[in-house]
Order: sequence, then C-alpha cells, then structure tokens
Amino acid sequence: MISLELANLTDVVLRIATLAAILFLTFVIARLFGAILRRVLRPIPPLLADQAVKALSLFIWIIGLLLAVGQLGLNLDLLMVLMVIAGIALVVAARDVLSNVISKVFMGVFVPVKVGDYLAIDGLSGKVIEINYLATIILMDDGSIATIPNAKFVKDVSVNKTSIASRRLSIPVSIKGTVSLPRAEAELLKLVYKYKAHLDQRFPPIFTVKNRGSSSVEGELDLLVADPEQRETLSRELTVKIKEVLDKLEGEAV
Amino acid sequence: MNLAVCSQTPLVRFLSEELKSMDFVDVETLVENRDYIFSPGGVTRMVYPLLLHMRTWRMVEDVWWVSLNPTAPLKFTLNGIKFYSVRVDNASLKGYGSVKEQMWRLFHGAVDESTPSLLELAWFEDYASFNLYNRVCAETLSELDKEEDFDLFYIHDFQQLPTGLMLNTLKPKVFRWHIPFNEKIIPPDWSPFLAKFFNAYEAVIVSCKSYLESLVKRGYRGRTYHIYPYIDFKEYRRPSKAEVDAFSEKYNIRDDDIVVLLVARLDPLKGHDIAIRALARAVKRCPNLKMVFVGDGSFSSSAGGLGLNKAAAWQEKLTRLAESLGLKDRVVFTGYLPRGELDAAYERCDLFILPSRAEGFGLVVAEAWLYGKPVIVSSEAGIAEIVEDGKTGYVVNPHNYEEIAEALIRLAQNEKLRAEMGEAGRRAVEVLSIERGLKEEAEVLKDVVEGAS
Repeated sequence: MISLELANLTDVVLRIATLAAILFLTFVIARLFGAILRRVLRPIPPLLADQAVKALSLFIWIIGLLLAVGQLGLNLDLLMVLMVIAGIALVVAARDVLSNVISKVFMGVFVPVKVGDYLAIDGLSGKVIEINYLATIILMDDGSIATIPNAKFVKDVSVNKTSIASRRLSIPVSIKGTVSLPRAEAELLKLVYKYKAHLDQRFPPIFTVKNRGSSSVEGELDLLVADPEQRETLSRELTVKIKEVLDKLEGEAV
Repeated sequence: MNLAVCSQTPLVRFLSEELKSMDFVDVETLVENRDYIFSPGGVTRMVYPLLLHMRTWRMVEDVWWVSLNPTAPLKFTLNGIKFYSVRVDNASLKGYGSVKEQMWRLFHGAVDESTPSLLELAWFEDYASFNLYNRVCAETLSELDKEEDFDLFYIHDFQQLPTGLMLNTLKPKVFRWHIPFNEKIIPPDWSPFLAKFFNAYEAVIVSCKSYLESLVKRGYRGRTYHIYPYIDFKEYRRPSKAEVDAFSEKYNIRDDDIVVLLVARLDPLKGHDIAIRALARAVKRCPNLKMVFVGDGSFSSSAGGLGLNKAAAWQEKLTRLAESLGLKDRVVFTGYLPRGELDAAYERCDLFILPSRAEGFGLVVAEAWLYGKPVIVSSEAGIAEIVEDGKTGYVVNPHNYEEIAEALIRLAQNEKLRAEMGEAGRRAVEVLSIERGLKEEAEVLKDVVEGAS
C-alpha cells in the first residue's frame, strides 16, 4: 500500500518536473528562434520584423503548452481540433481586417503614401488626411471623404501626385526603452549624414516620434533621395545600418 | 492655466559649486551676487516679469520654466515659478553651441563666403548635437506634462525652434522668435526646412511688424502675432548720488566727461567697433566724450556660460582698435554689471548708443529712455521701428561712421537737445511697458488655448 502511494507520488513529481522542463525549454526555444528570426529579417522594416517574431514566439508557446498539458494526462486530440477550427474561423472572419492591417505596415515604405499627399486610386482623388490600421482617408476636392481599405494600395494601382513622392523615403525606426532617445536620434542622424551624397541636401533628415510604447519608441526617419531609382536600395541599406546602430546602443545600455 | 515655458538661456546662473550638485533649491533662501546672478539679456529680462505678472493676476496657476543650465541644481523655485535645468554632456554641448552660434549669425545676416547656409549646417555632424539638445528639452517637457498636465507650451528663441515639433502633442504650442526674421536674409530655399518646424506651433509671435510678412512668405501657415518686447519699469530704480559717484570713481569718469553708454554683450554684431570709429571722429570736436561699454559675453559666449569664450577675444580687438585711434583713455569696458551699478551707469550717462549691425529688437534703448536719455539707434535694430528720428532719438546707418559721429556731436554739444530728446523718449517708452505686453500676450495665449479662428 505504502509502496503504491510512493510510486504514485514519484509519478506526480516526475510529471511536474517534466512539465517544468518543457515550459523552460519552450521559453529558451522561443527566445532563440526569435533572435535568429530577428537577425534574418534585418533588411525588412522593424515593425514588420517585430510582428513576425511575436507570431513565431506565440506559435512556439502554443506547441510548448500543448506538450506540457499532455504531461498531465489530458487527451489533447479534441483540444487540438477545436483550436485548429477556432484558428481557421478567426482567420476567415478577420481576413479583410488582417489584409488591411498588414498592408498598413507596407505603406510608406514599399507603397509611397503619406498624410498630406495628393493621390488618385480607383477613380477617386484627393488629399490623404489619415492612414489608420484599416483604411486610408482621402479628403476629396468637393469636401467629401473617401475611405480606401489599405489592402487596395497593395493590390491596385494608385497614383501619387505629390511632386516629391518618388524621392521621399520614410524609414520606420523602433528604439528600445533602455536606449536614450536623444542619443539614438543623434546617432541615426550622424549615420544618415554619411549618405549625404545620395540625398537631396535641400531637405536635411528629420526624425519624428510616431508612437511611445511602454517598452519602445516608434519613430520615422524622413529623407529625400537625390535619385528615385536609388530609393529602394538606399532604404534597404539604411534599414540594416540603423539596426546595427540601435543594436550597438542597446548593447551599451545593457 | 498650467504653463510650460522653455528657453535656452536660464533666468538664474548659480555661482556656488555646492549648489550645482543639489537636486532642489529655493533661490529665495540664497543671496544674489554671492550664490547666483540673473542672466543678462532680453529674453529672460522680458519673460520673467511676464510670468510674475501672469501669476499675480492669476492668469496662470503653475509655471514650469525649462532651460539649459548645466551647472545648476536640477530643480529650483523663485517667486512661485518652478525651474527645471536641462543638462547635456560636454561634447554635445560644444556641438550645440557651435551650430547655434552659426545660426544666430545667419539670421542676423552676419555672413561671409566661408559661412555655411542653414541647409548646409543641418548636414554637419554638430547639427546632431543641436538636435539632441532640442530633443532633451522636448523629452523633459513631455515628462513634466505627465505630472502637470500643461494647458500650453510657450517656447522662446530660435535655438528652441525644433522643440515644438519634437513635443509630439496636439496641446497648444506658441513660439516667440526674438531675433530678426527678414526675408531679405532668409532665402526661399530654406522655407521647407524652416516651415516644417514653425508649423508645429499654433502661433508664432515676433518682435517687429516687418517680420510678420517674412514669416508667411517662408511657409508658416499658423497664426502670426506681433508684440513689441517689454520691460517692467518698476525694476528700474533711480540710484542715489552716492551710487552714481561711486560708479564714476570706479571707472575713472570725470564730472565734465560726456558719457556715451552702450549696453550690449561683447559680440561683433553689436557694433562696438562702429561706436569706437565714430567716437574717433567726434572726439576731434568734442574732446570730453567718453564711451562706456557695459556687458560681457552672452550665456553661450561667456566663460561662465557655455564656455564659448568669444567675448574676451572681441574685447581684445576693441582695445587694440581704441589704442590705435588714440582713444585708450576715452573707452571704458566695465564687463558685467550687477543691477545697482547698471542703474548708476544709465543715470550717469549723457546719451546712449546702439550701433548694432543687426538686432532683433534692442530693449536696452527702452532702458535708456526710462532714465530720460537721448538715444542713437542703428537702423538695423528692431526698435528703430518706434524711434522717431530727431524727436525721441537718432536713427543711423551703422555702416556710416560720419553720420553716427554727427549725431554724437550734435547731442554732446547741446544739453537742451539732450534733455528734450530724453524727455520725449521717456514718453515713447510707454509702448514697451510690461502692462501693455501682458495684455497683448494674454490675448494671444487666450486665442491659442481657446482655439479662436
């Protein structure tokens, strides 16, 4: 009797230890894969990279938690089926919303549209007065407003009639809360000065804070390239260099 | 209304090493001229009485004044106003100071072939430091705003122009531009860069009417206001005869000397050399003319400020010039004068001169008028707009030594003219009173806070 209880107790302790080990391993794997993915995604805008890292981390944690729950002896088959169905339902229900949200991330970098621009799309034309996560709001010449889903800018042809749109370059920048914003901004400006020859010198670079989160500051570095054909190359190169500068500052802050 | 004010020049400079390391000080417990001095210069001289009056008349409840003060306690209070000292590292401070000085010259038109334009300057590595200083100010104001919930941000002077854009809030922001803003000096291709910063403010106030149009032509789309600078007349007391005698004795001024006073920081733009050259011509006919220069460097250019000590170099040049023109005993440099001695200098002088090559306004002329002194004012100074030539003073071309010498001689030789002109000046100065300034400022701030169209 006593040996049976002892065996049960040992089994429980073993299961709890395994569960703890799985959770610890999940944590390590999520961090490791997150760091690797962040490094791989260096050339893409930091906001997009952040979202991808968060998605990967979430996926790893779901797998880890399912394995951990399995150690408690629960049947996971039904749970898995329910989660898959819920996931598919969520994606189907929110596919339009998701496509607009994802398109917003691309706008400004790959689709050159900013608030204040004058553009034409889908037979409508006017001044952009707002770009939110779902749509771009255009104030038309007759005073009415048109709401264009962001996904349309990725799928359809739009014409930006703003004279400098072809040369304007807005690079999103995410500065960790541990790094001094004034110092980071100064270092970023010094970095951009090195590319002076490829930029329109009548428009010196300006850094603007867009959003202030609890753990980071999201901003934008606005430049005007001298040659529109170099816009994409310069954007890619500067994005990588900016990441290097910020990584260095983060390292120093730690 | 809770008000946040930001200016580069701090109201108070601390003298004691011990105080500099403290987190908080009540300045009223300290002794002026031993523990601290008030910064000379138009901006603080104008803003401080304005804030005091606004508090007295309950137009504001809480006021925070943020300024660059690397050697001051982090926070201090004086007469109910709270001060926050911005500090930046020495390397950034040096870079900031260098860009700021060049900008000051650019907007005053004091350029030569080697001077970079504003757009070139904005690509210099030092510009990143200039930017850094403004970002630190904006971050400081934003942090204070979390606690104080300000109703209005009032930013002063050209060095702080980017602060408004960096504040990243839709709360009302007003900017006061204190130096010249002249479209003849500011080329159109600077407009997009300047307008980006100016347009972050709901309203911009300038000191002279002529600057309003230039501001619009250079791309500003907000509300523009013109308010003449102002001073609190009550701060200017009549010194006793003993004080005036002590001043004269200290600077070797004889009773029969005709004293020409110039109160300005030691900077080539202020035209001390012009005054000396005009004196050299005038002294041939009026040998008892004596010129007294009061002032040292600005907050940036004095050894006790940001340490860009160009004032000493300029004084050396002026001394050599005076010696070469045989005026060694006719020119006196007093350096910085505490309030009491400055009162004595105004009282003792017979006439006042401001020969600036460029000058945002020139409140020192108003100070001379308060003491009933006739003035000779450069046509390049903003205040020339309200000098009635021949009645309240003489408006002269700063590049024409003969014209200035003539004005000096005319006044030096005619005591009655000096008295009449001084009396007319005493009446003219009313337009520069703090009461009028307060009324106009209050109207602007009300317009902006209430969003009047």
